[in-house]
Amino acid sequence: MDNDLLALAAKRGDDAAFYRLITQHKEKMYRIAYTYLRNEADALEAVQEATCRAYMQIRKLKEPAYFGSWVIRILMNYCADEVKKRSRRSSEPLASVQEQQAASGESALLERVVLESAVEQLDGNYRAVIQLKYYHDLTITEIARTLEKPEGTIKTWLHKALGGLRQRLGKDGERHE
Amino acid sequence: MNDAREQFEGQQWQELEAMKEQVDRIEVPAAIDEAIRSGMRLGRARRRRRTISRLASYTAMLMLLAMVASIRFSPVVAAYVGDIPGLRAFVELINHDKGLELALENDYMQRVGLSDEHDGIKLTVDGIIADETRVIVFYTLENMDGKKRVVNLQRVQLGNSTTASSSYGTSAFEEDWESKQGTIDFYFDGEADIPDMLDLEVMLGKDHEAAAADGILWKVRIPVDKTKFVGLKETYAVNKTVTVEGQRITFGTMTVYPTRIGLEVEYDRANTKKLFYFDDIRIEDEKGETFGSILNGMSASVINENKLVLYFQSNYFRKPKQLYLRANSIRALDKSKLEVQIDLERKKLLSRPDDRITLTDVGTNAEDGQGVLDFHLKNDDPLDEGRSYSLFDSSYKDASGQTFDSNMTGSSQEEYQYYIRKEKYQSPLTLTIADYPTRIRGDIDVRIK
Repeated sequence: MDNDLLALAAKRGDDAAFYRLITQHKEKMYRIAYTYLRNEADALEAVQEATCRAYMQIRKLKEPAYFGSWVIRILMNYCADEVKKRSRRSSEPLASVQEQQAASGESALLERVVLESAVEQLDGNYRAVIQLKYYHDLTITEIARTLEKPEGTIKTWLHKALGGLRQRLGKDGERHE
Repeated sequence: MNDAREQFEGQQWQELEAMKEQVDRIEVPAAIDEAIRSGMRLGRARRRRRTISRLASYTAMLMLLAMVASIRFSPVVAAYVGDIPGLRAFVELINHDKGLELALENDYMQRVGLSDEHDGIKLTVDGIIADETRVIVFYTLENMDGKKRVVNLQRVQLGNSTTASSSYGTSAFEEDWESKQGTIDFYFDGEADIPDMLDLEVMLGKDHEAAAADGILWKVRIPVDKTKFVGLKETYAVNKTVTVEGQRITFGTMTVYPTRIGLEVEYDRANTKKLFYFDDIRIEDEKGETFGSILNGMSASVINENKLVLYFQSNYFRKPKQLYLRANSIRALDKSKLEVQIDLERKKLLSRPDDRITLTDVGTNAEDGQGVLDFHLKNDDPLDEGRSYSLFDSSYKDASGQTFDSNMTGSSQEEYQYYIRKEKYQSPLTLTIADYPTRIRGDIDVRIK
C-alpha cells in the first residue's frame, strides 16, 4: 500500500496501518533518541512515548506524506525535554560515556568524542540541525519539515551552528571574535 | 547562503560527515517493536483519559487533556492563518476543538488588538470568540525587557461581571522567553450576562503569592460585538428517553451555539444504578462526521444529582442537515454499592463495590500529619488502560455521622491515595464512589434533526 494511503487509513483509526507506517521509521527514531539520551533503555522509552503521542494525535496529521517528519518532531520534542530534565538533576549526564570512550585511547575516537561534545553544547535548534543533517542524513528540506521552519532558516542555522562549532573547537575557518 | 559555500563548509567537516557511519552503527534492539506496540497501547488508553478536577465554588467539571506534540492545520485554516500574523499559535491552542477551529475558519473571531504593559511585560488581547454563553479571549504576553523570569497568568477576573466563571490554560516555566500565547475561557449563564465591555483584569507572576505580592493588575477593556452572535443559537427539543440495561436516561433540550453544543441530560430517579460518565457520547451528522465532548474546558455543568448539561464541540458552522446523538458505553454502579467502609484499626474494607478495589494501607503523611488511605484498583478493562479515576467524593463521614472534606487525592496507575484530615475518628469511615470502571452498554442512537 502506498504510504499516503497508509497514513490516511491510520488517521481513520486503522491500527495495522499506523503500525506499518511507524515501523518504517523505527530505526531512525531509535538512533535519534539514542544520540540524545545515550542509553538503550531511555531511547526505547522515547520511542514508546513518541509512538504514544503520535497515536493520540494522528487524526491531526494534515499532510500524510510528512508522517515521518511529524513523528520525528514529536520524538525530538520529547528527547529535548528529557535532556532538559536530566540537566536539571545533574550537570554531567554524559561524562561517564565520554570518559569511557576517551580512556580507550584511540585518537580518532577522542577527536570524535570532542566533536560530539561540542555539538552537544550548541543551542537547541543549532544542535538539532547539525545532528539531523550529519548524524541522521536528512536533507535541508526534510529538516525544514521536521522543525517546521522555512528552508532559508535551516540554512542560516546550519551556517551559524558550524560557525559555533568552529569557535568551540578552535578551528580557524573564519575570523570570529 | 549559497550552495557553493554550503559545500565548502561541508568539506571542512569530514569528522561531521563521518558521524553518519557512527550513528548507523548504533544497534537497534529487537525490543523496539515491543516499544512501538506498547506506545500504541498507551496512546489508545490516554486518548480516552480525562483528568477530572473540580472548580471550587461551581458544581462543574473541567476536563483537561494535556496537549502533546505539534499540530498541522487544514489547508483552509492554514490559508486563513497565513493572512493574519501571530494567529498561528492560536490555532494550535484550539486545535483540540473542532468547533472552535471551524469558528476561526468562518471568520468568526472578533479582532481586538488592545494591550496593557507593566513591569516590562505586555499583555495584548488579540481577539475574542464569543457567543451567548461563552467568551474565549486570545492573548499574547511579551517579555519587553527580556528579563529572565517565569511568568504565568495567576488571577483572572472580570471587573464588571460577577457571574462569569473562567478557566485558563496550562502554565509554562521557562525563564527565558520572548512571547507566548494562550486563551482564557469565560462562561456566562446567558446572553444577558455578557456585558458590552469586558473589563479583563489579570495578575501575572511566577506563582499566586508572588503575583499577589506585586499587586499589579494588567487591565484591558474588551469591546464585545453582540450583533455577531445574537440570535445565532439553534434549539432542538429532543425530549427522548432511552433505556440502557434498565437505566433510563432522558435527553432534554439541545442548544447549538457557535462555540459549543449543550445537551440536557436527566437520569431517572428510580434508576438502580448511579451513572457517572459517558465513555463515548458524540454528535454525528449525515456524513458520519462526529463531534465529541469538550476535552479542554468545561465538559459539563451539574444542575443536581440527576441532571446535568453535557457540552460538545460545536458543528454549528458545518450546517448539518441531519443530527444524531450516539453513545455506547456508560460508567455506572449500583446505587447500593456506592459506599466504601473502612475499618481504620484493622485496616480493612468492610464494604466495597466489588473485589477490584482493595485497601493496601492506612498511614500518615510525613509532611503534614494527615491520614492517608491507600487503595489498589485492579482494572483490566482495555477502555481504561493507563487511565486514572477520581474514585471518591471529597466528602466522607465517620461512624458518628460527622462529615469531613478531604483536601487531597492522588493516583498513579492502579494506586490511589485519599487523604483524610487529622481528626479523632470513630471507625469505620465511609467514602462514596464518584467514578468506577463498571459499565452499562447499549446502542443509544437518537435522531435530533
